[in-house]
Amino acid sequence: MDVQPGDVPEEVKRLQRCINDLVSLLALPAVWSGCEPSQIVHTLLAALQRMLQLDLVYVRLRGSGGEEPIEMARFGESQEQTVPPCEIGELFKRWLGAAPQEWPPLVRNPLGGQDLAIVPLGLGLQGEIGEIVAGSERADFPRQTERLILSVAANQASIGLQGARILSEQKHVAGELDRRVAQRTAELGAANEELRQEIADRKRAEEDLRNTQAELAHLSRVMTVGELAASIAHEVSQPLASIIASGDSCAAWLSSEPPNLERARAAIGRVTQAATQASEIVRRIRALFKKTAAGTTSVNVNAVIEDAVSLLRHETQRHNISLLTELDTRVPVVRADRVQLQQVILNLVMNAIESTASVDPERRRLVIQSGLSNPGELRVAVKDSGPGIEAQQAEKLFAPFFTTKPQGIGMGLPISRSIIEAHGGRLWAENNEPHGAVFQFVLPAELRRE
Amino acid sequence: MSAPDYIVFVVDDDPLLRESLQDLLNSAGFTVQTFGSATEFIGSELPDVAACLILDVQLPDRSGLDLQTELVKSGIEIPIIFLTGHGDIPMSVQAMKAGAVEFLTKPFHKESLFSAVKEALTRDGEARRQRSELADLRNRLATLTPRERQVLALVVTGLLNKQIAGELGTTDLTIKAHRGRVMRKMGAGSLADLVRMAEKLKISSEPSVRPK
Repeated sequence: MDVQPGDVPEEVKRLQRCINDLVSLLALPAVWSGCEPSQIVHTLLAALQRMLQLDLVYVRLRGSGGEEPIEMARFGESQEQTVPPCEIGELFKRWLGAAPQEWPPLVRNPLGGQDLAIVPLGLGLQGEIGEIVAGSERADFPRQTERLILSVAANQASIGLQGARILSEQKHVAGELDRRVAQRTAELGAANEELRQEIADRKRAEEDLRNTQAELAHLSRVMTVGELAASIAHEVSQPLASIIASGDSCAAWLSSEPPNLERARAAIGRVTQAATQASEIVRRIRALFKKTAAGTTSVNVNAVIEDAVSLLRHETQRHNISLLTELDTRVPVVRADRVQLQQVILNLVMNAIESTASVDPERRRLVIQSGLSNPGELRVAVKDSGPGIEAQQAEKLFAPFFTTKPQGIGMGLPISRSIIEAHGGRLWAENNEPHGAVFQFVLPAELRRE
Repeated sequence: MSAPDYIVFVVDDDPLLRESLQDLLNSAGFTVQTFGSATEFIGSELPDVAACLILDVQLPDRSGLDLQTELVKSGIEIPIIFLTGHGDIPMSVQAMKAGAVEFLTKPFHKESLFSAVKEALTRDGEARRQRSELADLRNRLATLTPRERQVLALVVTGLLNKQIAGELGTTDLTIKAHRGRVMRKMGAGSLADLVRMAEKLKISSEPSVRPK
C-alpha cells in the first residue's frame, strides 16, 4: 500500500499508538519492582487513563490475610467532579467477583452524565488479586486495540502486584522475625536481669550463711574451750609450778653460804624453759579463741594434731584413756585455716574421749592417725573404742542440734563437716573394728610430691 | 658419804617439774630420788629409811590414786603428798582417806611443800620406830614357852599369883618362877611395862587357854 507521509490513515496511527502503549505497559513491571500495591495501582490507573482517555478506571484489590481491600479510582479529564472510590465500589458491588460476561455492557455514570460502557477484567489468573474496571462514555468503547491494551495492562498489573504481594509477605515475615527477635531479646534481657538479681540475692544469702557459720563456729569453739577449762588450768599450772619451785630454789642457792651460783643458774634455766612452755600453751588457747579466721596458710596437719593432743592430754588422763598417735611423717602440706582445722580435730577427739569414757577402763583406747589415702589426698582418722554408732544415728550425727550430750548444743559435728567441706574435703563416720567409731576426713593436698 | 637417815621420793611425768622439785627440796637440805612413772617407782629397790612420796595425781601409766592403792595392798607403808593441777574435791577426799598426808594444788608454796614433807617424814619415822619396836617385842614373845605365854596373858589382866595358880591348877610358887622368867625374857622393868607391851602385842587372856 502506497501511503504518503503526513497522510497516514487513522487506523495505522491507532495501531502505532497501540504498539507504543503496549511497549510502555511491558516496561511497567520493571518500574514497579519494590513498590507497594497502592503505588502500582496508582501508576497503572494513570497510564490507562492517559492511553485510553477513559472516563473512569477503577481497581479493587482483595485484602490478603484479612486486610481491608484497597480501592482506587481515576476519572477522565473531562469529568468535572470526583467521588470517593468506595462509592464506585458500592456501584459495582453486585458484579464484583463475577465473571466478565455477567457484567452489564453499560453502567450508570457515578458522576452523572451519560452511562459508561465498561470492560471488567480480573487481576491474577483466576481474578484472585482483584478486579479492574475501565469505563468510557464513548459508544464504540472498547475497540479491539483498547481491549488488547486493557488485557495486557491487567496481566502486567497482575505480575507487578503478585511481586509486590510476595515482597510484602517477605517484608511482613522479615518484620515478624525482627519483632520476634526483638521480643525474645527483650525477654532474654529481662530473664538475664532476673538471673543477675537472683545471683546477687544468693551471694548475699551465702554471705549471711558464712557469717552465721563463722559465728557458730566461734561459739562452739568457745564452748569447747569452756569444756576444756579444767584441762587448760592443769596445763598452765604445770609449768607455773616448775617456775615457782625453781624460783624458790634459785633464791635459796643464792642466799646460801657461800652462794651456789651453778645451781642457781640451772634453776633460772628451768624457769625460762617452763615460762616458754606456759606461753606456748597460752598461744594455743588464744588461737582457739580468735574470732576472725586467720585465713588459709600452708598447714602441716601433724603439727595441728600434736597441738590438739597436748591441749587434751589432761582430759585423756583424767578419764584413764590411752591416747595413741600414728602420724605419717610423709603427709603432704594442705592449704587450710589452721585454727578451723584444729577446731575440727579438737572436736572429734573431744567426742571420742566422751564416748570412750563410758566403757570399761581396760577398753578405753583412742587412736589418731594421719596419712595419705589417695595420691594428693590427706586423711585424718580419730578411732575410739566407745559404744560405736547405731545405724539409725549415722547421718543424724551431722544434723544441726542433734546431740547426745547433756551440755551439748549439737553443732560440733555439723560445723566440723562444713569446715572440712569448705576446704574441699569430706568428713564422715563409720563403726570401728572390733568396737567403737571412726570419724575421719580427707583434704586435698596442696601440691603433689615430686 | 653415809646413807641419809631419810629420803623424799618424787614421781612425776613432767621432767621439768621433777627436776624443779628435786632442786627445791635439795636447797632446803632434803635428799631426793625422782621417778618418771609409777611403774619405775614400784620396780625400784627402796632404801630402808624414813621416807615420803610426792606423787602427781595424773600419771600417764596409772593414776596416783591407783598407785596409792597398790602400795597399800603390797604392804608398803609410805606417807604420800599428792600434787594436782586443779582441786578435785572427791579425789582429795579419797586420797586423804587412804592415808595421804597432804594434797597440794599446783602451783604450790614452798612452805606448804616443806611442812608437808617434814610432817610426812616425821610420821614415817614414828611409824618405822613403832614397827621396829613391835617387831622387837614379837621376837621377845617368840622366846616364851607356851606355859609362860599363858602366865603372861593372865598376869596382864591384873590377877594375883595365887589366882593365876588357881586358874592354871598349879602352886603360886611355880607361877612366881614363870612370872620372873616372863619379865626377864620380855625385858620388862615393871608390871606396868609388861601391860603396855601386851597391849601393843594385842595379848589378852584368851578364854580358850583356860582349862575346863
